[in-house]
Amino acid sequence: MIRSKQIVGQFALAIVLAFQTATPAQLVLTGASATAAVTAVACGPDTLEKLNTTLNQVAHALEAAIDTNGRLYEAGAYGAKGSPEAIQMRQRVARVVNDSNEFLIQAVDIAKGLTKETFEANKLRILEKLSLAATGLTIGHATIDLVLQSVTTLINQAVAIAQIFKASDVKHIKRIIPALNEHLKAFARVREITTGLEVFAE
Amino acid sequence: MSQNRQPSALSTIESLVKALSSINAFLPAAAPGVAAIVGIFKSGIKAGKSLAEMEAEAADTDATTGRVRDKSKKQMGDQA
Repeated sequence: MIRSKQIVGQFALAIVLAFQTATPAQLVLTGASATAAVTAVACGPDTLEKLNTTLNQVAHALEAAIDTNGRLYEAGAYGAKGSPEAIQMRQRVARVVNDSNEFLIQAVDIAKGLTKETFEANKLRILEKLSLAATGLTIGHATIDLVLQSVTTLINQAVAIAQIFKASDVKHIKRIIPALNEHLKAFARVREITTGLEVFAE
Repeated sequence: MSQNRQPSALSTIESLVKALSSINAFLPAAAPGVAAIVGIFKSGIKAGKSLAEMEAEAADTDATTGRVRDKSKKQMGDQA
Protein backbone atom coordinates (compact mmCIF):
# COMPACT_ATOMS: atom_id res chain seq x y z
CA MET A 1 0.00 0.00 0.00
CA ILE A 2 2.82 2.34 0.95
CA ARG A 3 4.61 1.46 -2.30
CA SER A 4 1.58 2.30 -4.41
CA LYS A 5 1.16 5.54 -2.47
CA GLN A 6 4.78 6.37 -3.21
CA ILE A 7 4.19 5.88 -6.93
CA VAL A 8 1.07 8.03 -6.82
CA GLY A 9 2.92 10.60 -4.76
CA GLN A 10 5.81 10.71 -7.21
CA PHE A 11 3.34 11.18 -10.03
CA ALA A 12 1.62 13.97 -8.11
CA LEU A 13 4.99 15.56 -7.45
CA ALA A 14 5.89 15.34 -11.14
CA ILE A 15 2.67 17.14 -11.99
CA VAL A 16 3.33 19.80 -9.39
CA LEU A 17 6.87 20.36 -10.64
CA ALA A 18 5.83 20.32 -14.30
CA PHE A 19 3.22 22.96 -13.70
CA GLN A 20 5.51 24.99 -11.50
CA THR A 21 7.24 26.51 -14.53
CA ALA A 22 4.15 26.58 -16.70
CA THR A 23 1.79 28.49 -14.48
CA PRO A 24 2.90 31.71 -12.92
CA ALA A 25 0.64 32.28 -9.99
CA GLN A 26 -2.05 29.76 -9.41
CA LEU A 27 -2.60 26.10 -10.00
CA VAL A 28 -5.63 24.07 -9.21
CA LEU A 29 -5.15 20.33 -9.09
CA THR A 30 -8.25 18.23 -9.24
CA GLY A 31 -7.85 14.78 -7.76
CA ALA A 32 -10.18 11.96 -6.89
CA SER A 33 -10.10 12.91 -3.26
CA ALA A 34 -10.20 16.64 -3.29
CA THR A 35 -9.81 19.81 -5.23
CA ALA A 36 -6.69 21.40 -3.89
CA ALA A 37 -5.80 24.99 -4.42
CA VAL A 38 -2.09 25.46 -4.79
CA THR A 39 -1.01 29.01 -4.49
CA ALA A 40 2.27 30.62 -5.33
CA VAL A 41 3.32 32.72 -2.38
CA ALA A 42 5.52 35.78 -2.70
CA CYS A 43 9.09 34.79 -1.95
CA GLY A 44 10.90 36.57 0.83
CA PRO A 45 13.07 36.06 3.88
CA ASP A 46 10.04 35.02 5.87
CA THR A 47 9.17 32.19 3.46
CA LEU A 48 10.65 29.51 5.69
CA GLU A 49 8.69 30.97 8.52
CA LYS A 50 5.54 30.52 6.45
CA LEU A 51 6.52 26.94 5.63
CA ASN A 52 7.20 26.27 9.30
CA THR A 53 3.79 27.65 10.23
CA THR A 54 2.01 25.73 7.50
CA LEU A 55 3.65 22.44 8.52
CA ASN A 56 2.52 23.18 12.06
CA GLN A 57 -1.01 23.79 10.79
CA VAL A 58 -0.94 20.49 8.87
CA ALA A 59 0.08 18.67 12.04
CA HIS A 60 -2.80 20.24 13.98
CA ALA A 61 -5.26 19.52 11.16
CA LEU A 62 -4.20 15.86 11.24
CA GLU A 63 -4.76 15.82 14.99
CA ALA A 64 -8.21 17.35 14.48
CA ALA A 65 -8.91 14.66 11.89
CA ILE A 66 -7.90 11.78 14.16
CA ASP A 67 -9.85 13.27 17.07
CA THR A 68 -12.90 13.71 14.85
CA ASN A 69 -12.56 10.10 13.71
CA GLY A 70 -12.72 8.91 17.29
CA ARG A 71 -15.72 11.10 18.05
CA LEU A 72 -17.62 10.00 14.95
CA TYR A 73 -17.01 6.38 15.88
CA GLU A 74 -18.18 6.95 19.46
CA ALA A 75 -21.27 8.81 18.23
CA GLY A 76 -22.24 5.99 15.90
CA ALA A 77 -21.70 7.94 12.69
CA TYR A 78 -19.90 4.95 11.18
CA GLY A 79 -22.54 2.51 12.35
CA ALA A 80 -23.29 1.14 15.80
CA LYS A 81 -20.30 1.55 18.09
CA GLY A 82 -18.52 -1.79 18.40
CA SER A 83 -19.96 -3.18 15.19
CA PRO A 84 -17.46 -4.63 12.69
CA GLU A 85 -18.29 -2.06 10.01
CA ALA A 86 -17.86 0.88 12.43
CA ILE A 87 -14.56 -0.47 13.71
CA GLN A 88 -13.39 -1.06 10.15
CA MET A 89 -14.28 2.50 9.10
CA ARG A 90 -12.52 3.97 12.14
CA GLN A 91 -9.44 1.87 11.38
CA ARG A 92 -9.41 2.92 7.72
CA VAL A 93 -9.52 6.59 8.62
CA ALA A 94 -6.88 6.09 11.29
CA ARG A 95 -4.65 4.37 8.75
CA VAL A 96 -4.79 7.16 6.16
CA VAL A 97 -4.20 9.76 8.87
CA ASN A 98 -1.31 7.70 10.22
CA ASP A 99 0.24 7.32 6.76
CA SER A 100 -0.10 11.04 6.06
CA ASN A 101 1.37 11.90 9.45
CA GLU A 102 4.37 9.61 8.89
CA PHE A 103 5.14 11.36 5.59
CA LEU A 104 4.75 14.73 7.30
CA ILE A 105 7.23 13.61 9.97
CA GLN A 106 9.65 12.55 7.22
CA ALA A 107 9.28 15.94 5.50
CA VAL A 108 10.00 17.77 8.75
CA ASP A 109 12.97 15.48 9.48
CA ILE A 110 14.45 16.18 6.04
CA ALA A 111 14.08 19.91 6.64
CA LYS A 112 16.14 19.53 9.80
CA GLY A 113 19.22 18.46 7.84
CA LEU A 114 19.28 21.11 5.11
CA THR A 115 22.60 22.47 3.88
CA LYS A 116 23.33 24.65 0.88
CA GLU A 117 24.79 21.80 -1.16
CA THR A 118 21.89 19.49 -0.43
CA PHE A 119 19.31 22.21 -0.58
CA GLU A 120 17.78 21.48 -3.98
CA ALA A 121 17.77 17.71 -3.59
CA ASN A 122 16.24 17.97 -0.16
CA LYS A 123 13.67 20.42 -1.39
CA LEU A 124 12.55 17.81 -3.91
CA ARG A 125 12.47 15.17 -1.18
CA ILE A 126 10.41 17.45 1.03
CA LEU A 127 8.01 18.10 -1.84
CA GLU A 128 7.78 14.38 -2.51
CA LYS A 129 7.02 13.59 1.13
CA LEU A 130 4.41 16.33 1.27
CA SER A 131 2.82 15.04 -1.93
CA LEU A 132 2.71 11.58 -0.40
CA ALA A 133 1.23 13.03 2.77
CA ALA A 134 -1.61 14.47 0.70
CA THR A 135 -2.22 11.24 -1.21
CA GLY A 136 -5.04 8.94 -0.26
CA LEU A 137 -6.77 11.28 2.15
CA THR A 138 -10.24 10.09 1.23
CA ILE A 139 -12.44 7.38 2.64
CA GLY A 140 -15.91 7.67 1.14
CA HIS A 141 -17.63 9.12 4.20
CA ALA A 142 -18.80 12.69 3.57
CA THR A 143 -17.99 14.21 6.95
CA ILE A 144 -14.57 12.76 7.56
CA ASP A 145 -13.68 13.29 3.89
CA LEU A 146 -14.37 16.99 4.31
CA VAL A 147 -12.02 17.08 7.29
CA LEU A 148 -9.39 15.14 5.32
CA GLN A 149 -9.84 17.54 2.39
CA SER A 150 -8.95 20.37 4.75
CA VAL A 151 -5.71 18.56 5.58
CA THR A 152 -5.00 18.13 1.87
CA THR A 153 -5.52 21.84 1.26
CA LEU A 154 -3.08 22.77 4.02
CA ILE A 155 -0.49 20.30 2.74
CA ASN A 156 -0.78 21.81 -0.73
CA GLN A 157 -0.17 25.22 0.78
CA ALA A 158 3.05 23.83 2.27
CA VAL A 159 3.98 22.37 -1.15
CA ALA A 160 3.40 25.74 -2.81
CA ILE A 161 5.61 27.48 -0.25
CA ALA A 162 8.38 24.86 -0.43
CA GLN A 163 8.44 25.07 -4.24
CA ILE A 164 9.62 28.65 -4.32
CA PHE A 165 12.97 27.97 -2.65
CA LYS A 166 15.80 27.99 -5.18
CA ALA A 167 19.37 27.46 -4.00
CA SER A 168 20.65 28.30 -7.51
CA ASP A 169 19.43 31.85 -7.09
CA VAL A 170 22.50 33.40 -5.48
CA LYS A 171 20.86 36.67 -4.62
CA HIS A 172 17.97 34.81 -3.17
CA ILE A 173 20.10 32.37 -1.19
CA LYS A 174 21.93 35.23 0.50
CA ARG A 175 18.64 36.19 2.01
CA ILE A 176 17.34 32.71 2.59
CA ILE A 177 20.39 31.14 4.21
CA PRO A 178 20.41 33.47 7.23
CA ALA A 179 16.72 32.77 7.52
CA LEU A 180 17.44 29.06 7.26
CA ASN A 181 20.07 29.39 9.92
CA GLU A 182 17.66 31.10 12.26
CA HIS A 183 14.96 28.63 11.51
CA LEU A 184 17.05 25.50 11.77
CA LYS A 185 18.47 26.47 15.14
CA ALA A 186 15.16 25.16 16.31
CA PHE A 187 16.18 21.81 14.94
CA ALA A 188 19.73 22.20 16.29
CA ARG A 189 21.34 20.88 13.12
CA VAL A 190 22.62 23.58 10.84
CA ARG A 191 25.71 22.46 8.97
CA GLU A 192 28.69 24.03 7.28
CA ILE A 193 28.11 26.05 4.12
CA THR A 194 30.67 25.40 1.38
CA THR A 195 31.14 28.99 0.31
CA GLY A 196 33.81 29.32 2.98
CA LEU A 197 32.43 32.70 3.85
CA GLU A 198 29.94 31.53 6.36
CA VAL A 199 29.83 28.56 8.65
CA PHE A 200 26.64 27.54 10.29
CA ALA A 201 27.10 25.08 13.07
CA GLU A 202 25.01 23.69 15.82
CA MET B 1 -7.64 34.96 6.67
CA SER B 2 -4.06 35.35 5.63
CA GLN B 3 -3.29 38.03 3.10
CA ASN B 4 -0.64 35.70 1.66
CA ARG B 5 -3.20 33.42 0.09
CA GLN B 6 -4.24 34.06 -3.47
CA PRO B 7 -7.89 34.08 -4.64
CA SER B 8 -8.11 30.43 -5.73
CA ALA B 9 -6.81 29.15 -2.43
CA LEU B 10 -9.01 31.61 -0.62
CA SER B 11 -12.15 30.47 -2.39
CA THR B 12 -11.27 26.82 -1.78
CA ILE B 13 -10.69 27.48 1.89
CA GLU B 14 -13.86 29.56 2.17
CA SER B 15 -15.83 26.76 0.52
CA LEU B 16 -14.31 24.27 2.91
CA VAL B 17 -15.05 26.42 5.94
CA LYS B 18 -18.64 26.87 4.76
CA ALA B 19 -19.09 23.13 4.22
CA LEU B 20 -17.42 22.31 7.52
CA SER B 21 -19.61 24.78 9.37
CA SER B 22 -22.73 23.12 7.98
CA ILE B 23 -21.64 19.81 9.53
CA ASN B 24 -22.16 21.17 13.02
CA ALA B 25 -25.91 21.39 12.54
CA PHE B 26 -26.50 17.72 11.88
CA LEU B 27 -23.44 15.97 13.26
CA PRO B 28 -22.51 17.55 16.62
CA ALA B 29 -19.95 14.83 17.31
CA ALA B 30 -17.74 16.33 14.62
CA ALA B 31 -18.05 19.86 15.99
CA PRO B 32 -14.82 20.04 18.04
CA GLY B 33 -12.68 18.79 15.18
CA VAL B 34 -14.43 21.04 12.69
CA ALA B 35 -13.97 24.03 15.00
CA ALA B 36 -10.28 23.21 15.28
CA ILE B 37 -9.82 23.12 11.52
CA VAL B 38 -11.85 26.29 10.96
CA GLY B 39 -9.65 27.93 13.60
CA ILE B 40 -6.53 26.81 11.71
CA PHE B 41 -7.80 28.30 8.46
CA LYS B 42 -8.82 31.54 10.13
CA SER B 43 -5.49 31.91 11.90
CA GLY B 44 -3.72 32.26 8.54
CA ILE B 45 0.02 32.83 8.51
CA LYS B 46 1.59 35.64 10.47
CA ALA B 47 4.88 37.07 9.30
CA GLY B 48 7.62 38.48 11.50
CA LYS B 49 7.81 35.84 14.17
CA SER B 50 10.67 35.94 16.62
CA LEU B 51 13.19 33.10 16.76
CA ALA B 52 11.71 31.98 20.06
CA GLU B 53 8.27 31.83 18.49
CA MET B 54 9.58 29.78 15.57
CA GLU B 55 11.39 27.43 17.93
CA ALA B 56 8.22 26.97 19.92
CA GLU B 57 6.27 26.34 16.74
CA ALA B 58 8.77 23.72 15.52
CA ALA B 59 8.66 21.98 18.91
CA ASP B 60 4.88 22.09 18.81
CA THR B 61 4.91 20.47 15.35
CA ASP B 62 7.06 17.62 16.67
CA ALA B 63 4.82 17.17 19.68
CA THR B 64 1.66 17.24 17.59
CA THR B 65 2.88 14.72 15.02
CA GLY B 66 3.87 12.49 17.94
CA ARG B 67 0.38 12.68 19.40
CA VAL B 68 -1.19 11.97 15.99
CA ARG B 69 1.05 8.92 15.65
CA ASP B 70 -0.03 7.58 19.06
CA LYS B 71 -3.73 8.29 18.56
CA SER B 72 -3.88 6.86 15.04
CA LYS B 73 -2.06 3.69 16.06
CA LYS B 74 -4.45 3.23 18.95
CA GLN B 75 -7.47 3.73 16.69
CA MET B 76 -6.06 1.30 14.15
CA GLY B 77 -5.39 -1.35 16.76
CA ASP B 78 -8.41 -1.16 19.01
CA GLN B 79 -11.01 -3.81 18.33
CA ALA B 80 -13.80 -2.11 20.25
